[in-house]
Amino acid sequence: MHDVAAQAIDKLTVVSQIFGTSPWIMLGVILLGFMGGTLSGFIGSGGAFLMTPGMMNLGVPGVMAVAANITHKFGKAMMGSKKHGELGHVDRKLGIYLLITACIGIRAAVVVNGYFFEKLGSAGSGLYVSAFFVITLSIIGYSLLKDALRSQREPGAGPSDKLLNLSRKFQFKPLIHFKIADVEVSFVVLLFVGLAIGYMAGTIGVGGFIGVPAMIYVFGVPTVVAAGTELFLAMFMGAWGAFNYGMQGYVDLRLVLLLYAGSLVGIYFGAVGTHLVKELYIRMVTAVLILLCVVSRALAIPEYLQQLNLLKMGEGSASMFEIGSKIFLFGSGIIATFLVLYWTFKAKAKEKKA
Amino acid sequence: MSKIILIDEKWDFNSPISRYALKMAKGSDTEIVGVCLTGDAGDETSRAQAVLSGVKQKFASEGIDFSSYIIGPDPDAFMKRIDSLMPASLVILGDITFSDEMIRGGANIDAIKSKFQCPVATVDAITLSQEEKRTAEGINWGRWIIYAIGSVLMYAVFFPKIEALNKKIFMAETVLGGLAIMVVVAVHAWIWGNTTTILPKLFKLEK
Repeated sequence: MHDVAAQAIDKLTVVSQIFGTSPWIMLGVILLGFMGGTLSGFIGSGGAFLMTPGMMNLGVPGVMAVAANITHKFGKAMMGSKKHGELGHVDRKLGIYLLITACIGIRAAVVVNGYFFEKLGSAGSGLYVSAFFVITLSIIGYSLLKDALRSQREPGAGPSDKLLNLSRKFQFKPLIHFKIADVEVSFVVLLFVGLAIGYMAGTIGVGGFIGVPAMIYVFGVPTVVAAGTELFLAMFMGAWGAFNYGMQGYVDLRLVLLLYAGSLVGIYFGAVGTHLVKELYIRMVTAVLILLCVVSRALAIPEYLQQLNLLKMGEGSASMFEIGSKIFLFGSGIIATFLVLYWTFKAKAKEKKA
Repeated sequence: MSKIILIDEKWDFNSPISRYALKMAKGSDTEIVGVCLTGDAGDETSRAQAVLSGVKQKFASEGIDFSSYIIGPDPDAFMKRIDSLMPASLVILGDITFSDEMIRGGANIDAIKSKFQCPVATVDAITLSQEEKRTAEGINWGRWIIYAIGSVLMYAVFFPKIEALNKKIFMAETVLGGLAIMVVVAVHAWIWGNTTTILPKLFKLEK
């Protein structure tokens, strides 16, 4: 392990080294931003599930990929608020409660993530982020797919109330009433969910994927209010994450600016698509894409294990895993982005014709 | 004097179609000839006459000559009337639904377009062109140019300097570094986001 720590990469020079290997890498980051932005605008939240592993596939250490992504999330949410935030669907009280607890979660994630990077180097950071990514997003992806398939079988079916009923068993006092969302939630449940949202956002840059479903399925908040409150949360969580990672020197602004170059182009097309494409398609794309990203990240794990001397592989096997991971990630991202744009332009053309 | 044939059922002077016809006729020595499609009932015809009389007065107050014909649901009579009004510089199809009998009898948009070889504007086409015009007018080009210049400066001037600035400020592991990152990101997202916000409008995906 000592050898591995000695291999720790200097965070000040790592991005320059990566960009120095090929100018196409910068274009790769822009493309990631575009795909992430389009999908983020289309799905309503997320995009990080593609951008964080994508940057790691391009050689960026896990902690720096997460830092760039959460910093990028801050500005993107700010623009998202400008575009969608005046809908009046934000329960600010609920948002502030979740924000306070999520900020604690983010701070904890920054410390843990930084620990892995400092102690085990880039491979350790990559392994930790990848393992966390695979475990949490396979659960989320599976749940989303199950829910989408249920909606296909039973059109008009509302969200499952299993988790809501379960959370009602944990209605420990004090109970807090949220007027706009019109729900009463136990402070203990709120604390637990907020910490989980923050920790997840701070670890893999994905917070909305747990925040929105948690508000809907655990608190019983109406979908539209959950989405609005998540936007409010995302902006402040992103700012807090950017500040914390920035204070520890993990944010390389070049990555952030390149992500923006693509994402703030894609996000507008994705957002237009939500008005034109069937909701079931949106949910299906989200679920399948998340699961494909999970497969991609799982394929990247053996390489980190090898770098940490925890697994021995031949060069052929290592390169097969690496190429497989990249193909899954970029392939699924490109296909999903193409589908979103195709459906959007097709629906618009049909609308004009009618 | 040129002629615009306006075919409608509702005849609302304030509708976008009537306003469009007025705009096209004004200042170009053009008269408007209205063709009103009605059902067979006598009271419907007399109601149409009253409405058209009001429309005539309103066009007259704008300095436009207006005459009109009321046609029942007879495809032959309808097409013959249009034929008798030719040549016209433009046919505007307003708020009108051709019944199945009319369509089967050869009175429909395609027949008008092909038989009379004259430009035919439909309500959808007019609404769309007006929306597109509004969209183009909706972009504040002066402000957009400022954002675009800002974006060019961010990517062409600031971006290459980040590597040097990382050592001094952004990655110096200080509170100031964290704050500086937040400020740069907020400013950049604002400038670049306002530059790219124009794209869906340019691709006509958004009004």
